[in-house]
Amino acid sequence: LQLDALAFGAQDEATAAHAATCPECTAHLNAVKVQLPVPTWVQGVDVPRRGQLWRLAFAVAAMATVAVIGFVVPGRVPAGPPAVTPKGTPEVQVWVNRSGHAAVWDGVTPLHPGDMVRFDIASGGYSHLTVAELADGQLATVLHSAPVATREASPAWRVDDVGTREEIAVLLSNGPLSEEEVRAALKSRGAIWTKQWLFPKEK
Amino acid sequence: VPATVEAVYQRFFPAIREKCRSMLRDADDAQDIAQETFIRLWRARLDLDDPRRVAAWVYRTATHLAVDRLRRNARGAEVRGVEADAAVSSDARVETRQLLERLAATIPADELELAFLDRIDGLTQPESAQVLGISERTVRRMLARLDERIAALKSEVVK
Repeated sequence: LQLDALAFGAQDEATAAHAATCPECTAHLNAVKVQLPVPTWVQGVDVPRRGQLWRLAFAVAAMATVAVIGFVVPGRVPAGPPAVTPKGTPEVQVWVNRSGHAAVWDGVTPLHPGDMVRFDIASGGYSHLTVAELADGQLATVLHSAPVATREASPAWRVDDVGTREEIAVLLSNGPLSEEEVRAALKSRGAIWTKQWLFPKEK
Repeated sequence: VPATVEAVYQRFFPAIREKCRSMLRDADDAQDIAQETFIRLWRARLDLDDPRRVAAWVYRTATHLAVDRLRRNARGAEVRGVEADAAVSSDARVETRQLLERLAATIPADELELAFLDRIDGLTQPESAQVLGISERTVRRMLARLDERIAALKSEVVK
């Protein structure tokens, strides 16, 4: 780990001094400091995409109508955690739409590739919604960041077939959050409301 | 000036590739996981001027992805026996990797991730704790359990 940090540019005189006299470390440093030709797939990486494992399913505009009809119209909300909460108490429901059938996630059932997931938000007075993908509890990618109404459905994300779990956090704040602020909020909530989910996945 | 994807590739990919090669004996698997790790690194928009943090992130992500791949492979096909590759190399890391491959389908993913960091990458216990975001005490407990599993597996192989 220290060697790779050194190769990435860390200032670490002790490790550098050791590596200079250790054949194994020297060989490792030589291996990780080679100049590789840049392959064509790297060009494709540079396409903006909101999310790594999760794919924004449809254009938000196209989905907005479906979202309202399918997820948040009063009377179609099935049993689950209370949808209406006292002011100042945010509440988030996870909805999973599998093959056209939408239901509140029960907290246990594994997601399947192709499932659509969205969050039904009661913002509790907060004005900004951030949805982030995590990797082992740490921020991986901000999937969504936008002002939020008192009651709003997030965009939907399609579950892909990579990996065996998904970690997602919803953060509610009174303004847009930088990535550093998201990281800090995940460690210590402070004035930012956060909730995290670990979704198991199966093929 | 924002780093270009090509520059980030040049700077980080060789180390990611080496890390993945050390974990996965199948060259295609190693390349796949290295690519996926790099793509995630690029899209995670980390502060690339913090090399220690980037290194820890790479170790965590690559190990996690490699363990996922190993476990999927282990579920889909019988993993070759420890003795089958003995002639390939006497390197202790190769033997350890083979043992971990055999355990892949039966031990928890987090334990397998720690096993790779500790036994293949040679991280210290505090480093493994840092990378995985767990306490050193938990690391020690998990490694003790891993030792028990490896001992049991070796005794099975001898029989």
